[in-house]
Amino acid sequence: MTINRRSFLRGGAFGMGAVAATTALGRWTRTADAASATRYAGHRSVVAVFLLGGNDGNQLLVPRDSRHALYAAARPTIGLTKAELLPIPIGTQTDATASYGLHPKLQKTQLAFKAGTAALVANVGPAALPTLKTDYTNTAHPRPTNLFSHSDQQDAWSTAVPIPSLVAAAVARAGWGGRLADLLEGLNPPVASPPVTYPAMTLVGGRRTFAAGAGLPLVTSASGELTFNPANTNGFYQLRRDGMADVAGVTNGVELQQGYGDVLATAAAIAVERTRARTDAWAALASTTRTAIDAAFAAASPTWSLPTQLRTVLLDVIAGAVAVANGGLGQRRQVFSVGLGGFDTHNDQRAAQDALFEQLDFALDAYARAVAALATDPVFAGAPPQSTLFTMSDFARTFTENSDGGTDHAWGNHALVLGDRVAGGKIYGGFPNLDVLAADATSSTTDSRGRWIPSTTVEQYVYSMASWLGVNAAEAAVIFPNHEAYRAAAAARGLGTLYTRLQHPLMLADA
Amino acid sequence: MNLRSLPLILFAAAAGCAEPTGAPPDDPPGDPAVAAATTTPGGDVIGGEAPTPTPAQVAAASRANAVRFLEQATFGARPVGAAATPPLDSVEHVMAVGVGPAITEQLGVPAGTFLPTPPRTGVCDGPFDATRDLGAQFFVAALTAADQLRLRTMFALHQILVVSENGIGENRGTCTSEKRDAMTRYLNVLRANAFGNYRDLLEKITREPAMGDYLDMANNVAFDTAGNRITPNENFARELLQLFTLGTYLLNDDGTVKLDAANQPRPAYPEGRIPAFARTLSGWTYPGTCPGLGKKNPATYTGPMIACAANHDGRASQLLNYAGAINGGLTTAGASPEVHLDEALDNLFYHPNLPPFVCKQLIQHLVTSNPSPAYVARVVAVFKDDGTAAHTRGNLRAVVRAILVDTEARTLTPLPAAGRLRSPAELIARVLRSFGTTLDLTKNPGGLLNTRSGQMGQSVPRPPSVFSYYSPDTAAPGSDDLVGPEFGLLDTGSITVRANFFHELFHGASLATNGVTFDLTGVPDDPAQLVAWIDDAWLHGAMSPELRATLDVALADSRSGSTLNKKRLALYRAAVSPEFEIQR
Repeated sequence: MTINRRSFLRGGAFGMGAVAATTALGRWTRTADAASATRYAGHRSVVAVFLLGGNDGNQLLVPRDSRHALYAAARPTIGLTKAELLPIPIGTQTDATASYGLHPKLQKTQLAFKAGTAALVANVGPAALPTLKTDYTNTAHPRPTNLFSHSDQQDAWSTAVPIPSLVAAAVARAGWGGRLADLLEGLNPPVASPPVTYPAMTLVGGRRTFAAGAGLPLVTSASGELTFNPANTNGFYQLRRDGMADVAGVTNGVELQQGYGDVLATAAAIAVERTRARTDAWAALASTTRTAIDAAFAAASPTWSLPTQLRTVLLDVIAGAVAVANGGLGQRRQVFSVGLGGFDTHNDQRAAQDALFEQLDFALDAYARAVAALATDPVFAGAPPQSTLFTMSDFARTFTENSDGGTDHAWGNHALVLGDRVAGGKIYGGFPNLDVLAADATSSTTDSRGRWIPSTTVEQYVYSMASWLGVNAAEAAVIFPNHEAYRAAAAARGLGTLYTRLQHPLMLADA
Repeated sequence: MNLRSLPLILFAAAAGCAEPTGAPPDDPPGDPAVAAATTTPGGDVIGGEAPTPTPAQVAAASRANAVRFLEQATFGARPVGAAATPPLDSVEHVMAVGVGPAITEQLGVPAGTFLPTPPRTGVCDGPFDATRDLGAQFFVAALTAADQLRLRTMFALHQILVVSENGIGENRGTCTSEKRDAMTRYLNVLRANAFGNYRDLLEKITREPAMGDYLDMANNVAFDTAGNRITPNENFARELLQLFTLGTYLLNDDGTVKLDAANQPRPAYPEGRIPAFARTLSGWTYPGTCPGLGKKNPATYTGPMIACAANHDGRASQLLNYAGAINGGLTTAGASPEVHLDEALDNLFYHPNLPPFVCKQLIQHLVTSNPSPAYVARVVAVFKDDGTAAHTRGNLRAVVRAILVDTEARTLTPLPAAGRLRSPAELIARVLRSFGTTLDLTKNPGGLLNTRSGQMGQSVPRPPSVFSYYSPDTAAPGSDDLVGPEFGLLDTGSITVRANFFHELFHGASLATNGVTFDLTGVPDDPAQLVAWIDDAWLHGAMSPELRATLDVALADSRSGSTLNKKRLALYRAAVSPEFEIQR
């Protein structure tokens, strides 16, 4: 067996001390401190919905007031008319006189917003330090690494590390979802016999970096399948299966072999138990609940991926939330990721993005309705699972369209949060100045194409969800390593609460 | 704690059970024949003292050397079987002629081609011929085609100069498959030019209509129909720089990132140059006659794109300026789209970042994920000057040879950091070829194999985006410094799919049903010889005592059953083992 170098290094990187040599299986068992969650006795989860390719948030949330003229001028081909926009109530944002509408394909989202279970956050993006236009034009002011590059900005959102070269490699390579999961695992009882730690991070789609932590995430296909064939347990197959951990452990001190062996050991350790729990926990639900969940997803187009992924997440939430005595895994806190591709709309944007928004609108609503159906199921004994969906994306797209009826890569973006514990019906944050030719003192854009400089960081956007899962301030500092430095710089410059805030209070207080 | 001291612990542990590699010696400075050891920021020694193979080793290859070479240069050794003469890609042949001549032979094999898809008949609502799917054709070629090194290189280039079939539009109003027409042309360009010049290849792929459609190079007009200047699409321009030529950071010739005084990487190009490249590359459209001002040709895939001056922004644009940049990177005012295309591609081709950016990825695809900087530098030197009288830059034939004959490729005692995870397509082809698999083409065997590859994350030629199937920068799980590009496709879910493929292979009927036929009679019955066969054919004689022990224990267990089941058990176990899954 090999020396447990990874946990060793990771312990150093996170200041948690060293771990002695263990078996291959033990090496993925997480060693992080237990989080301090005591706030809710039931199961809680957050679900990142990664809109891959750079969703054009300028079409998600559009002003319906006098600023619509700026929007229409910037987007002669792809612009939405005021009449097309789905109005959201006036007075739901900082500026009480402003008026906004949602993209016409977001009908269910509009209803959720009106019902107070959906919120929007304006102009969010990665930033190492507070950045105004005058800072952006100063080349000495640090910018996120490789701004406008898909891969780099997906990672910036996934890691909450805008400039990876300034932090330890172990930090830059881990996602904030993975770090969050590392801290949450202490709250979750081990599963199976002999007991193993169940990964608190499950990635069904999205950006893998988001899920990387000290421990390996559970990753499945969209359909959720994770099984070593065959299910048959005759002597031959039992012999073959029992040998899996031994084979995974023969890695000769070769790091790539260790990397492969870790994944194999993790999969072998949890595959059987997870598959069983997904079946048994589902069966433990009342038949009316199962019917309601099936109905929520029934109208999904067979070509859509996101509803399939979210249904997989839902089955894992059920498996995780149902008590061990009822066939579930008895977990308390989990982080999920799903992804929807196709948002890199450099040309013919309306056709592509409109179809994606229709799918997104359906999938988020179906998931929310399925979670609502769990609320009254007796198997949860009055503490049903709570789950919050939130969007991430590479970046926004240029406010001005290009010659192909599309838009190009930009920066600060509008995001969507949805769930029955969301303090919804509000637009949080500061909307950018849509005048792309404004003087530097009031400009929100890097150049004349309308690439918004974010006024809310990724950390400020998602902090309240990590907190809702139960992490305390010290733990949050591990998950969001750049957050305090950003806030301190904003305070030192007297930039006001939009820049200095710890978080946008997106989650309702616990009763 | 001192993190940099940790690799020594690792080395101490490794020395006991693997090659006695130990600490690197003090290399004589400036001796290009000896790879200099390099310590990464995380402390791993990733290059170094691998013994230089003697000329005799390259000339008359040992069996282990031949098996390893064929893993790097082909989709795996082909058994001689009943053939009267050992084929070029057999271990026996490589042992007979030596690695150097074997490369020369492979470089000389004529390029095969991917066949077009016939139009649908009738009312054009039926399916297209499934056997002409490019992924299906790719697997048939990987298993059976003669131009193995070319295919292997093409497969690497396909993952650098990415066009995905998923991103090509299909015109439902026609009897033809536009996706397939576009991809057949595109993959044939890569295959035919795999040993050509990178500059020529860049121009060819830029003008391919598949690329034009995929990244919006086609119909990127600089004017509307009224003649007003409009903003060209930045899509192709950005990915041409970031993914096809330069990458995001300035690089040294050895592939390491250049750092500034504050130890920070420097961007390879300023952001403002992207719109300049977009302007310079405007005005191209699909084949036919040039449409009018601001107008666009419909997508057709019958030939390269054509230039239309009316839709081109002819102004001089400031491209990248670097030491040696032609005209300081300023394009010619009023020049044609063709001249501007040449200027743009030359501006990138002669940029010092291009050789290390391209060469390191080619090494990663063929030999090892973490080549030492010295290895990259040796290959880069050949890229910059192929050693001919013409001192040609970008000669891929010379580059591929340099990659394969390098000491780091040929050593039989690779360092702990050496190796690469087999990609799904390579894993499937490698195992099937080792059994002398035959294909019944009437049953579309390639279609099934590409489906399985797709379930593992690599549906050829359909990477999910221009960032390909996985990123060359993917962190190896658990490592703070090593990359493992193919690990971008490996997770708890896909690893079960990989294992389940082997279950299907050894126990299922679906492969045979779909025309993939092999039998295990060539694999010995005797347990000791069975293990020896696996060691030789799959692990080039490098099986560890620990893996051997797990196989021996399993084979001695009464539950392992019949002779056939013993073979299946040992093969399955070895196939999913870290030792085999990592090509080393």
